[in-house]
Amino acid sequence: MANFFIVSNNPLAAEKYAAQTQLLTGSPAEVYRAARDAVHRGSRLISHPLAGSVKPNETPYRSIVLSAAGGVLDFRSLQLIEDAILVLKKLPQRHTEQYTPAMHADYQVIDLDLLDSAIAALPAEFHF
Amino acid sequence: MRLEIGSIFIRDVQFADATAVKDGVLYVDRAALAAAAAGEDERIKSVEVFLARPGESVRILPVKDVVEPRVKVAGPGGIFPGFTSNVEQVGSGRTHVLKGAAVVTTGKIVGFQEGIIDMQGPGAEYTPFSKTYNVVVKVEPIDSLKQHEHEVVVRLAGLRAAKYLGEAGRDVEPDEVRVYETKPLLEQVAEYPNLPKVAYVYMLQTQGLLHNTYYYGVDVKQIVPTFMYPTEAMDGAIVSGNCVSACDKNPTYVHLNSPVIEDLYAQHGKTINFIGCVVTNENVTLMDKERSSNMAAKLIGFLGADAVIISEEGFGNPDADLVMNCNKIEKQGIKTVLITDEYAGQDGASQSLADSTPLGNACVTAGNANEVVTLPPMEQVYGYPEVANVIAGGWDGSLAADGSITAEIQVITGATNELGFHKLTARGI
Repeated sequence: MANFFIVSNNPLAAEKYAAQTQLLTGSPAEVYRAARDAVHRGSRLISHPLAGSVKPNETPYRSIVLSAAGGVLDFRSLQLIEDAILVLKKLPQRHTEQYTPAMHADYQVIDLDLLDSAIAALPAEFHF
Repeated sequence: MRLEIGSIFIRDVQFADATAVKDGVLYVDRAALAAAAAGEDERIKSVEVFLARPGESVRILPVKDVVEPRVKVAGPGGIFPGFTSNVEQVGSGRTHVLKGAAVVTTGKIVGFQEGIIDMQGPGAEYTPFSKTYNVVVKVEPIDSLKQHEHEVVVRLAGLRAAKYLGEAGRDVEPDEVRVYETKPLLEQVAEYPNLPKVAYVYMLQTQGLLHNTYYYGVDVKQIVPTFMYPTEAMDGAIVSGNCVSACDKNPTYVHLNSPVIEDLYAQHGKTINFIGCVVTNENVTLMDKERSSNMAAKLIGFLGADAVIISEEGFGNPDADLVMNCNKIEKQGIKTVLITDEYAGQDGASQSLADSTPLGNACVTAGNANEVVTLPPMEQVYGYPEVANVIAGGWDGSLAADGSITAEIQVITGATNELGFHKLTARGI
């Protein structure tokens, strides 16, 4: 059983990494909140929550990789996820629900590619 | 490595029956350039070529890359090693540059888009590429080409177009020749023993699709930091596949003309001893960031640098790489100066970066990417004007009925370039 997991609202992530992905239905803000809650429960961030230069208010999709092992609170992870939430708050809201289906598909592909980069570079201690 | 850069100043660009440079005019055989850009790539359906001159009422969007036409006339290797040339080490010999000309690629790779170049008006002030004579290459792929391949197709077409145009400068006597040289480390240190040894940590965006950068053709996310002679960059050792965040990505043109490298060479032998560059990446996982910053700091220590310039590329998570590089180098007793840009909100009041460090006490900003600008309509739009509404930094209704665009300056190619390649700047006198 994998000792990492993915919080994501990207259906492509859930399709490709079905057993590891906790698929949320909300916005990136909810993905960040779920990741923050996991950090408080002792998970560590494996991928950076602001991966990619696509702005978090622009992409409707976000996937974050965390360690499954519940250990002591990792303050570095907490700082990174809290800072990411602050970045999201300061950017103006965009009505991503009005994007065309083709745009949604493209944002999903970009997010999946960033996730694939993280999975390809998974530290040795983590496994499927 | 010693490289002579021979600049042929281009003062106009025109279509003609044959591609040539004569009396400062770049004449372009439109069909031949389109064919050269397409190459043998069967994934390309069509290539169209347009010209855009400074001051014209022209808007180009979405811009994928900007590339400068160059040709190697002496010395090993060719321009853009790993792509349009073999992988011989470049950075020595002689290279001719069509200075003032640029290839601008446009393509609709994904449904959301990046990059505006206006050739006149307020937008032109924000992009350095309003001052270049632009050869716009619009690449249409075959139907149903997937996003990954589409990006590759547009990138390679731009490089081929720049190489084709660069060839026109092979036998032209340059208007100006500059010589750049960094010697092997021990020789270089001995040459100016009393000057502080300065190195450059050159961070490259390397996260995935539309976020990649290449060094001699290799995807930089797959390397550990390595040493680069500064002149290698002038021959196209670094190629951009980074199409996201138009304001602060480094187009290939900027890698070829890095102001950081140019300015360090301007002081080389006078106030500093410029000993070389460390090329490093900005990857997705935190372990990669730790590893790469450890390696970059180790290399800087090994080189014996007294001070280091560190430049960032992109938004958000690279702030973490910047901070790690800064901390680990400063903790070796080596001074750092950081170059970044800011996302401080439209009112400029928010925290600018996603990470920070007290050791980052010397920092140069390239501007606030969230500043709002209104770009008036242009008579001519090359590319895909309908994408203005879905451009990063724009928002719903960004594109008005009259064709004007109201958006943050992050929509403009090069507006807050983190190598400092700008038209708007403040300089000490």
